[in-house]
Amino acid sequence: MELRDVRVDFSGVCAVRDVTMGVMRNRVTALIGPSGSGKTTLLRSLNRLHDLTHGAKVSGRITLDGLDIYDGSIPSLLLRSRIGMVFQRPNPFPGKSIYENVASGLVFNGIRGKALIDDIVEQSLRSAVLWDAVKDRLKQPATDLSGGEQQRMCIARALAVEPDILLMDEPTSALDPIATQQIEDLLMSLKAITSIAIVTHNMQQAQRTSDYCAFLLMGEDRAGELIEFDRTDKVFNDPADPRTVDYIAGRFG
Amino acid sequence: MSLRSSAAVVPIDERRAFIQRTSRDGLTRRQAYSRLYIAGATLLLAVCILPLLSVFSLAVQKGMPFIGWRFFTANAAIPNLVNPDAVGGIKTPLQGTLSVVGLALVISVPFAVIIAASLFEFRNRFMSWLEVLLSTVIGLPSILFGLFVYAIIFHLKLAYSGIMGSVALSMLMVPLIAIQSLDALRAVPDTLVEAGVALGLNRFSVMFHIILPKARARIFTGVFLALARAAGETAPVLFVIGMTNVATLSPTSQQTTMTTFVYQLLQSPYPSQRDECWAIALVLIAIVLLFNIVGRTLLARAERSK
Repeated sequence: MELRDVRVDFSGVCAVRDVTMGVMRNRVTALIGPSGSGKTTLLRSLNRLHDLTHGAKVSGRITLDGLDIYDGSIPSLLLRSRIGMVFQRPNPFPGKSIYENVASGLVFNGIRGKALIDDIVEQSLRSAVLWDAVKDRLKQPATDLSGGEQQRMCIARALAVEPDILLMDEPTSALDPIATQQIEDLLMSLKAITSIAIVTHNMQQAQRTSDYCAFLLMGEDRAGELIEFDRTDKVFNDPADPRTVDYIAGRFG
Repeated sequence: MSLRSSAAVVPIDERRAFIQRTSRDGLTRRQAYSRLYIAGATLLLAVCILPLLSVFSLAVQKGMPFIGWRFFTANAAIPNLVNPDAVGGIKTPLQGTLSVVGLALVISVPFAVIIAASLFEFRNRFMSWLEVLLSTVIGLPSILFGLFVYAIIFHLKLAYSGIMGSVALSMLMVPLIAIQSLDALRAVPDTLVEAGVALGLNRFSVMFHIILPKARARIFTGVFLALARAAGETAPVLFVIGMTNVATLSPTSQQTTMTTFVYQLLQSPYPSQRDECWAIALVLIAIVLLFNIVGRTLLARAERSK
């Protein structure tokens, strides 16, 4: 996925601009920066989630396999079935069981056949390292799970449709250190089957988990800007921009 | 099109291709459902809005010619054969509505807020039963309140007066405001209450210095919505306020409100007076609309500042 001069406005007020970067295949790309730098806004433009926000406008070019995702060459329904998303707080569908939650993306996309769906649900839960914990209670309400388990179930739900890209918006911010550790370990293994873009507040997390790293910062007019995009080891050990040096050294933010 | 059933042996790329193909194949159907839903919703919306629009346009069309400064400041005139169009103005019913509804507001707000506060503080069987009762009263036909006050007047041999109408209207407004206020109180975050309690505030102070100020905007919303409802009611006041041709704000004298005036005019033999009803309807719509807009603006502001 390629981004060129991407800019997002809300009712005419610029939230983030000048973003040119990529989300590499089978790699983890982290978006870091202080609060208000536009990380989440940028992430939500990648699956056209801003379509739901009145007054939001995305400009510039975002392409998936060479197709512009905003010019209508990919219907947004298809786009979102190819780009999964995991949110800050676990958001299981209430009133649905664990199984139904994980299978929902498949069912809504028209996949039929119990055996096939059973298999994919198991596979997805295994990929999310949750299978062993829930295999005997798949019919129970998803809301009975603990916070960390719910978040991994949400990851499994996103994985079930085999997305090309998985977007994660601070997926561990509502979790305790142990659950965070589990999700981070999970990122390592998920790289094999999908590409990941992850927003994180936590620089250690970005350093531990990502291959590429984009650093955003709020400009003087309160709009976020991309300061630097490079390999993670380069950004953390030999940053090109003095503002990146300051941020990583913990001098602000 | 099918895929071998055991997912474990199917390579990931093949499975991904299969899912994406299925998703693409079903796209037309899913988009069709989506359009059908939008079209259905639009149609139903039109069915809902059309009667409203036609009433409103009729009120504007027939009522607008009457509207002018004199319409609000003049007393009602009586048309005769020489001057069949001389209907005068609505000074009397305008002041009547102001007086009756205004006093009803003064009566109902303290009652409603105290009821809401009690329902909020004391949680027991009796209170939850009372809450159900209040919600039920909201749904009662409003003429019952009129009948109740009428019975009081009859048995105690009281006189018809504006205040009786205010009492009947407050019986309608109290449950409306109380239930809305209760929602408002319950919407105040527990953390705020806990912060107050932890500082050593007593229940009274917590209620009056923390919860009520925080819930104020939502309570006002309920007040304005109840006002809008009360200003448009005829039945509760019809039997109990009597009738007057003299503009007065006094609650102890007999009163004519906008709605009971319409009721009188509709029985007139003069077409001009019957048409005047549309003008009054227009004014009532404007008043109700204003109260609703104020109420909803307050609510929106309260939600934003959360």
